[in-house]
Amino acid sequence: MGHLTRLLAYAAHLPAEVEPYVLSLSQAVPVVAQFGYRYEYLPSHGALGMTSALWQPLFQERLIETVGRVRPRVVVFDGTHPYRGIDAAREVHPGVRWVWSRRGMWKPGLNGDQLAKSAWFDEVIEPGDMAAEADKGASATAPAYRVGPVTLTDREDLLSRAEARAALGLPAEGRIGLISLGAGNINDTSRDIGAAAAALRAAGCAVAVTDVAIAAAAHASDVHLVRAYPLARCYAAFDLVVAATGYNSFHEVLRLGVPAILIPNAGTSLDDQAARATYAAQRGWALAPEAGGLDDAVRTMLSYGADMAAAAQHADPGNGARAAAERLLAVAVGDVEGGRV
Amino acid sequence: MTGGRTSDGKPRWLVGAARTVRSSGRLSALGNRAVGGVQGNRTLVDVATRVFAFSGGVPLIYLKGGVAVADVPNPERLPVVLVNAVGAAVEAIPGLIEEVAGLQRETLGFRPVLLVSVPCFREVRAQGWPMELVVPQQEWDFEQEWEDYLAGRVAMIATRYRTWGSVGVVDGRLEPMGRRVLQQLATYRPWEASFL
Repeated sequence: MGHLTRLLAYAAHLPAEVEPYVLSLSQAVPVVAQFGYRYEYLPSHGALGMTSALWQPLFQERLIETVGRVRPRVVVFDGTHPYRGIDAAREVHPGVRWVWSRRGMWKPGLNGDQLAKSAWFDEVIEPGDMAAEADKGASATAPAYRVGPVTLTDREDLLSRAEARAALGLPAEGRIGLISLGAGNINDTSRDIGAAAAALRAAGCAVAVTDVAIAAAAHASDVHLVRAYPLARCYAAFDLVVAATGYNSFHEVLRLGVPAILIPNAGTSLDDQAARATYAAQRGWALAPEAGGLDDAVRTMLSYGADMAAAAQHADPGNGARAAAERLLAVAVGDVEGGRV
Repeated sequence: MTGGRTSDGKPRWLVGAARTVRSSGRLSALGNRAVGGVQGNRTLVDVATRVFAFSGGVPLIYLKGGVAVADVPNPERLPVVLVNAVGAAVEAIPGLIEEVAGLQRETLGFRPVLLVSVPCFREVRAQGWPMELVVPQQEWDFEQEWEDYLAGRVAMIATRYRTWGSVGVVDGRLEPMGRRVLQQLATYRPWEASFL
């Protein structure tokens, strides 16, 4: 979903005469239709249960067919691991320009071999990271055209608190905390999601979750399921958000001024979520409590969260999506000829 | 003869090699290359195909089979069947999925790949099947004819997913003969067919 969200952010800043067309491995791809874009789905090897060795030729075949049929001026690949087959597609369709949208914050010592694949692309755009000073990964010093942090939702897109609660079907009154930590068991207080829910309740907050299964399994009656895309437009509905620190969640809560408690997902293979959370806490933008510290963190955030959120917004250099879109246009018309900045 | 051959006459070395290879995704992938590497030599192709890529009459492939066959031993042997539901209306999809799922539960004998022209990710994900989505004919605005595009996708699916068969959909239901073929898989086990 993060890939789609970043690409949609770029697309939103392209001029009207540019027609974005999405080819995605994500089963969430139909969301792009609500923005008026056409899309196609290419099953990932995970979705197929296929070995990557068998899947790669399938990917290559489909990519070549799709690019040949759609005939785009530019193909933007968003990801940290460009798949084999992109190079072959480039050879088959030499008139098409290729851009790698490559977020940073890789865990130190990992994935450095992928940087050589920059040669497959006419340009590498790095969506900025508000925690970039803490980026010790291999991509941190690699050549790229760097823009500000990219989010699909901007401050002016936010609904008011009343509008957002109505849109999500939430009670108009009372405190509500959103838990956005992926899958898990909300009834198990020894784990992050359950502990966060317990801490919110202890502080007098109702609980909102985005996962259908979590909501369905909840024993308590004050758990609200919220479904919207992009949910960030409705962030004013919540008094605080307990979120993981993937690229999009992290920048949405910080850029949009939401009091946030950050709990990094330690299970990511490459994304250094812990570094993001730690950096944000050090800067006073959010809290990143240790295990067992959620009760205190919720109480603190309900008292001082607005000030911390304001500090984060003060540090925000602005949405990098516009600069990225302008760069894509420059690549499309040939103003960028391997001259990375 | 029994020392060199199994009770049904197959060479023991070949049966053992085949079992080893089939139990490994990595070796199966190597096998795909091996089969290609001996093209032109009829005998070697025959041996390599049997060792590396087939179980009886079924091309072997590691591909999700779905929740209904999750406990079936060696599910990679189960025939992959394309269910071609292109053109089926969105409201017909849940009933179609339940029909296919019911057949799969009854037979424990095949793995469906659903080909659709309307997105139905949530419904298909619940069954654990692979799904392919094509551009609907009414949204088609490319130079190529839509029928050729669809034919290309079906051909690709046959190649990449090594489909054993294909079943069409009429008025939101499996076409009758295709349904009967799938029902056969309750007792007819293609992977047990002898070719050695």
